[in-house]
Amino acid sequence: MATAVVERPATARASLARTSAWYRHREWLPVLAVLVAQAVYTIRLIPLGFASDDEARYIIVGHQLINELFHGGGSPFYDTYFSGAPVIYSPLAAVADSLGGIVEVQMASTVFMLTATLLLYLTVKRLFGYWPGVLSAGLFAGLGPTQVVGRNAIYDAMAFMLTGAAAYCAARTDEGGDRRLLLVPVVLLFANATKYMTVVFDPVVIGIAATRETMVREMVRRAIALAMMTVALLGVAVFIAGDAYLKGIEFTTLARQAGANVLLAAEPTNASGIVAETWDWIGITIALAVLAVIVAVISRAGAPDVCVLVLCLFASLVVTIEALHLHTSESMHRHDDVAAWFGSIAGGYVLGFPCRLSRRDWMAVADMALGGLIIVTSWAHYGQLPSTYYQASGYDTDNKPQQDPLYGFLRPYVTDTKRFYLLDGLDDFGLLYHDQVSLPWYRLIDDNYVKYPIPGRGGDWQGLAQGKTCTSIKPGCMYLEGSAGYQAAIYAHVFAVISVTRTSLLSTDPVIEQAVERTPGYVLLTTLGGGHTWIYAPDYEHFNTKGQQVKVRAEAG
Amino acid sequence: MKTIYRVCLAVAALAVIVAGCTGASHIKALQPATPPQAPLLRVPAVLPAVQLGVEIDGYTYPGQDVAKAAQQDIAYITGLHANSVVISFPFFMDSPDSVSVHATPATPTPQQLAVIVADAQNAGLYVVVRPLLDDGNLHTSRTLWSPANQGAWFASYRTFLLPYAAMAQADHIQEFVVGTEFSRFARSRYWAPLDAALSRVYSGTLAFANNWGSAFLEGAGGNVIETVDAYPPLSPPLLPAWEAFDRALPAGTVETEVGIAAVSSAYRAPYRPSWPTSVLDPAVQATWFSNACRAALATHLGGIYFWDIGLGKISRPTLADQGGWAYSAGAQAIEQCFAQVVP
Repeated sequence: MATAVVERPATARASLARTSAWYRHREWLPVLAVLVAQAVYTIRLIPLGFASDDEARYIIVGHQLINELFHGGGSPFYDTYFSGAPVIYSPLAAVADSLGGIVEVQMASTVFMLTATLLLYLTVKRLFGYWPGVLSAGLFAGLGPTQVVGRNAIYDAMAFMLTGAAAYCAARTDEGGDRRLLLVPVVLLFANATKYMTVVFDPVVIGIAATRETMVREMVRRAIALAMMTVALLGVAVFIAGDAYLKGIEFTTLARQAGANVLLAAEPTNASGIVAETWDWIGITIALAVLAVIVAVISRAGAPDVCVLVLCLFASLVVTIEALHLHTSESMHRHDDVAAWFGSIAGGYVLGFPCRLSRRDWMAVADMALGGLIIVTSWAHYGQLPSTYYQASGYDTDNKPQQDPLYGFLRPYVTDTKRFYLLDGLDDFGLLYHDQVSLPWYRLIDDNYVKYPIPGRGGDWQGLAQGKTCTSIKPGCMYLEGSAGYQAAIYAHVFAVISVTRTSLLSTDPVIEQAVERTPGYVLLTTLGGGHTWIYAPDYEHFNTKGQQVKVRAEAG
Repeated sequence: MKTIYRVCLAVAALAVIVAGCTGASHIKALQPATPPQAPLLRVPAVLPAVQLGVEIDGYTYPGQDVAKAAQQDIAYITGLHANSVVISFPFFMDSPDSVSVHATPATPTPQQLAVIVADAQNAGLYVVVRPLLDDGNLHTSRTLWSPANQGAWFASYRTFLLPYAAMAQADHIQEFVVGTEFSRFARSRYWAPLDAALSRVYSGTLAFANNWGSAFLEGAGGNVIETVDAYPPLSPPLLPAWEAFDRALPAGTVETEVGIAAVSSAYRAPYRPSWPTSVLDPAVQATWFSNACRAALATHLGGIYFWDIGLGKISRPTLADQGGWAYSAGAQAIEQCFAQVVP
């Protein structure tokens, strides 16, 4: 059969090309609008408040780790109590801090969270189609935790983005031996290493990957294979990282207890409080996830879809379940955000569900309008939460601190890099960061842990000399830790500044206070910050009343 | 090729993002709140294990540059390796029967006193301030005088002291003496209300300076620490004599005045400020001071202060001021003793 080929004019071809490009890219416009709105909502939070102690901690630690990498100086103990591998996020934060200060580090989080939203859109688009993808992105972006996490200069955003990336990789896989499956455990490893708690979402991600198979038997095989690979990779990583990391993982994640530590000092919360808090922060995603499962079952959606939705519902609840198990809501509102990421998958599904069924354009438009209205309402409600959160964190509506912090105060007292300072673990790094004080890591002790080298037994503050660590002075002990360590160090006038600034749950704080009161030479400098700050006065005899240094006794030699 | 293109695109996008964030991070509107300005706090002085100091007799005069005078005094005192200072400020009565006390131009105002105190604190000295009744109009020593109407006198005295106590509180002065050498009415019932009134505005240590012969029991209301202005007549050898005197004092007592004229026979009456002589003997002061100081350390007294230098008037021993000891053998003796303790 002969085919007549009609030459189109060049202008018409160009016009068609432009139209094609437009059609190719216009699908991004709604997502772009969501991302822009998310960026605006998040960036407006950046000027609020000071850098928190957590933010300061990760940045300072990053600087110290980079310094240690190039200059040595012993290994800090961060890996023993960080809830993420300190070598992953902290150096990045330090680099960003060097480029643009705390604002740049916070903007990096914003970028991570924008990427997470984009990955959510791509994941849902892959799983359920375009409009569910757009709606899920809109739902997630408007949540308060999304904006808070995108504003905070801590590792949450990076970890959540990586978790989302793993889920996207899982959704991208096709049936059979898709090579992209290999990416899933690798990305999960990075996500888990960045923040240990994200490991609870690994089964969900693996489950999503499994549902890409159509046969149940293949699903199970894929799930088992991915699970084994993930576990093996994590095991190898922990083995290589060493005991200190294992201790940190146990301490912060596996065997975490409410109020057990200055770093985990949240007060216990009852079950109703935890549930209410979850509902306040991400209630809509949970509700929509429940609805999605119901709709999917009633509409007899395919088993893979139902499985994905059930997994997402589980994921949206898992943080709350863990909080109920721990009896504390500490950090829950941030962790809830990654739960909401998965919940939003189901949310996008159910909001876009009528659109999928309808064969009429006006119904699709009506559905989109309804979905959009729900999302706008969600934004209006949940988008206000961050300001409430920052007010609850110690800032009033005018962005003024509600209590007198020690920021800007301790600087004159902690500049001597040859002295030791015992500062409250709740704000020690924040103080140093705000006051721009650079101390060797071993010069800063908090009220959480001390490893005091008993004089004359060969130990050192950097822990370079290996020896027995005891909780009371006994023969053969090189170091003292716990209450005895604090007492011995204070009695020996080791610390130039001792600051226990807030009411803490730690048992060591009363021990420290009693030891200070019994040790001549320590004087109360201030009660700013709501606690007590003492100095060992003989160390500061050279200070005048205006906080300036004067050469005292120059005549006296 | 497509992969390389994508990688290049990703790297370029990353670079744009980093550059964009770096640029945006310097936007003023995005900067976090500035931490509140640190309050200017004073480093509290620690009570020295032993107070080794000099007394400033704080008479001033109209137009005096108090700051300059204070600077000179404190520099001289720290040069002696002192760690403490007592700053006396005079007050006056018109007659022995007067029921009121008052300041004169010779009395430093609380503001002027604060200038001296600030210099002393800046130098790391433990600071004691104390009022000292000028007995010029009493026609006798203050140690032998008592007010005719104690109620009225104490009321006037309290009115005079309160502004100084407020200054002491504001400037974190560690010790405030409520009365000096009032031996005749040290046990008056009016001391307790005075102490209470002062305590309401001043939270530091209140003290009462006994004269050397007075009993040490419940002076000045009983709620204050007691010191002694030590002018005991002693006979050589002086070291054991001083040690014996010190051991008779309650443990930890501070000798707030030790002084003597640079006159050969002064051991017999060290409290006597002036002797009819035309020859000075600074070695007397050196020996006296050296032994007093060594004995104070040996007997673990709370401290010892040497009387005195004037405000801006750091005098050598002269016939007109026989008790002066600056820049002489007496000063060397003080310095040598203090240097054993204060580096």
